Amino acid sequence: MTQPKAPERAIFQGDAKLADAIARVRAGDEEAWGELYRQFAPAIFRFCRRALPTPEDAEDATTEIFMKVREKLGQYDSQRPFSSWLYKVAANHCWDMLRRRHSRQDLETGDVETLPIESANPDQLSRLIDDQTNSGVRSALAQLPARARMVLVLRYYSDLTYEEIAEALKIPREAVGVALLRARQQLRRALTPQQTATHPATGDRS
Amino acid sequence: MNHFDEASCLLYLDGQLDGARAAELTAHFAGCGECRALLHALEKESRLLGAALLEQDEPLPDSLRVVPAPTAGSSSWVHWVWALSFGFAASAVLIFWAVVQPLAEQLDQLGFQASSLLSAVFVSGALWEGWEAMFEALQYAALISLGVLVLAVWRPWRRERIAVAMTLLGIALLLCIPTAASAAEIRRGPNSGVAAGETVNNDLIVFGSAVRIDGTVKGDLIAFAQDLTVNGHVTGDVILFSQLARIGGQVDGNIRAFGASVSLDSGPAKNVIVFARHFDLDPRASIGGGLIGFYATATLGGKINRDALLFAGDTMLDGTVGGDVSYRGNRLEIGPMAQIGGSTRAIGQSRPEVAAGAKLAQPVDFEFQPRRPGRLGRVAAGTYVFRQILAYVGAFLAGLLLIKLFPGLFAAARKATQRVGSAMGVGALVLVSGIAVVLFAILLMIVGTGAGIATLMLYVPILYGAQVFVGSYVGDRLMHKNDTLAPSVGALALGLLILRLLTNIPFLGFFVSAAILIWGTGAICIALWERTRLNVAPAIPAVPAA
Repeated sequence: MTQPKAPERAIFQGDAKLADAIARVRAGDEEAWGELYRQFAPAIFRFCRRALPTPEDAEDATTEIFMKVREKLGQYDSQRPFSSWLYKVAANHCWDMLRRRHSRQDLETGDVETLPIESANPDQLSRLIDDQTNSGVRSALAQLPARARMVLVLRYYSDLTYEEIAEALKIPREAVGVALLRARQQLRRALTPQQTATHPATGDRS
Repeated sequence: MNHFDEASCLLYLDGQLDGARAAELTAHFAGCGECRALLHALEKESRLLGAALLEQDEPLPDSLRVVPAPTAGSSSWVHWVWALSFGFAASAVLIFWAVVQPLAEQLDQLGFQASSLLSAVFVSGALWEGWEAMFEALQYAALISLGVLVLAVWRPWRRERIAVAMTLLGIALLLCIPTAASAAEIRRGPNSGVAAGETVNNDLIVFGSAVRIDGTVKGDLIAFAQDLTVNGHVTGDVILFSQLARIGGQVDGNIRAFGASVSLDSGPAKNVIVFARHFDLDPRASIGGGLIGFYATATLGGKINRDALLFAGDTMLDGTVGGDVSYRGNRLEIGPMAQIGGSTRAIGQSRPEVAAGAKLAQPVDFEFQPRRPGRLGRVAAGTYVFRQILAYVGAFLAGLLLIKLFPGLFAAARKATQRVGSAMGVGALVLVSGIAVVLFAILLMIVGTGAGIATLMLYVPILYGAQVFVGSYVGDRLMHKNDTLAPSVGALALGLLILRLLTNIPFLGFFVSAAILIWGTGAICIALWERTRLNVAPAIPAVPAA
């Protein structure tokens, strides 16, 4: 596969040490909880930074997500990768948070939803990509509507499967591909210099 | 040959197509350079997205070094807090009925009616130990409301109910206030009052620096003044807050006086409660009911028809008391003109001096109580320990509530606690202006406006929070000697315990508690300020002070 693996999944999937830590947390071991937190907090924080508008939101959400994780750890099915479960909890939380705060309009992609899906010109796309830096992509991402951001983050940061994304966003499995494609198109527009002005920043300070 | 669209290419790339369809595309890509180019571009885009998003660009902020949700798993946590708050509420109720009820009965015998819960708490509590007890009564009320909050707003989505609970509590307290002066006439001005010959057919509230009541008030009189003189006739009660107060006129109800110097030249038909530095009962004065006095010095020359309860420094009793005299204080002197119809009981450091001419129905019953350092001297050891535990549990409960309800705020405030200097500065500033706010709130409360209570109710949690954050900080410092803070309930418990021990050191304790208050309040205010500035979170109450 071509996508870089989320490091947490690569390291901890099937990891006996992690399974042991989770079991100990379930038994009420504070030290194990601290270990688990320290292991995953940076990744979850970065997840929140990419999915939410401000650094403060990300800080709050990280804390709240871990409180939820602590509460719901009993529900985690140890046959599945821990990081996917973790990111799903995180995605649910961030999504709820955004939904509570913003009007619906802000979450929907609006008129973009009705635009016909056009195939990109491969050469143009290729050139556009070659010009980008990682931080440039991140700041363009910050300008996207919440839904587009979330779906890109879930796919390319959390490395969730289409099924997991559908579950996290509570959309049909079939809609995930379209959502991803639209989000990528929105991102391309944000990356294209002359068009960035028409997409005002959504409040990110970075 | 038809080309495939971007959607199909993406699904192909992500392995989302079924076998037959995937094979179809594979075959097509082999022969179609254009589609292959699109596929490669999309793949490159995926790689870019992955690289950009996965880059470890930001380290974990300091506030997140703190491990959240430090308690045991959710269910045991919930049960624990429920049990704790029930236990706490129960013990608070117990205190009310174990302590307040007997006192209310005692008061009843004296002729004071405990007409409502609040007056029972305030008046009886005051009777018990004076100002300190009054403050404690407030603390109990705050703690009970805290317990109620834990129950009512337990789940995060019920946060908005805090506001409802607060309002209900405020209304409940308002209903308890016996003299709600909702329909009263209000007069303001530096020299306001009631002129001779004038009649006010209503309750009257007066604000002014020099207030004179020479006319008639057909109702209660509530006065806030620097210098108050009442020479007229008040048919109801007189409640006064005045630096200097003289009452020479006729009062048909009770007098409740708070002031530096209070003198009664004529007594009211009913009872008198006085909180004053100096209290003077003129030989001409006659109090129809009983007297409860809290003061440093007093000369009691007039006539008290029923009992006198005195919590005092030095008292010169040279008048007539129809009932019993209960005295607790430094020094009681019974002059040659004194007559006491009932028993005389004194508790204090020195035996009352009785002049030769004094007529006492019964000999003086004196109980020596040595002056012990600090608060220990005033309270029996058992009660003392119990109250310390209660205060400790209250602070701990407040901490749990904060952790659970406002984890972000908790983390931010703890972070601010580490900035000792700025926290101290802000804390001092807020407390100074805050005291003014509280005084104003008390005024409002007496006038009968709910806003006063609401402000007060916000202020009390902040004072509790101060303890919590400093306690949590101290606990962390002790448990993890130098670096990252992993707050746990254990650390909170330990820190609060240490603070409680420190504040009970004689003499030094006062400074410790002042420092905690300033430091913690500053930290809370910094945290609230930072959070409201960056991100308006509706669930977090604003700082009441400026």
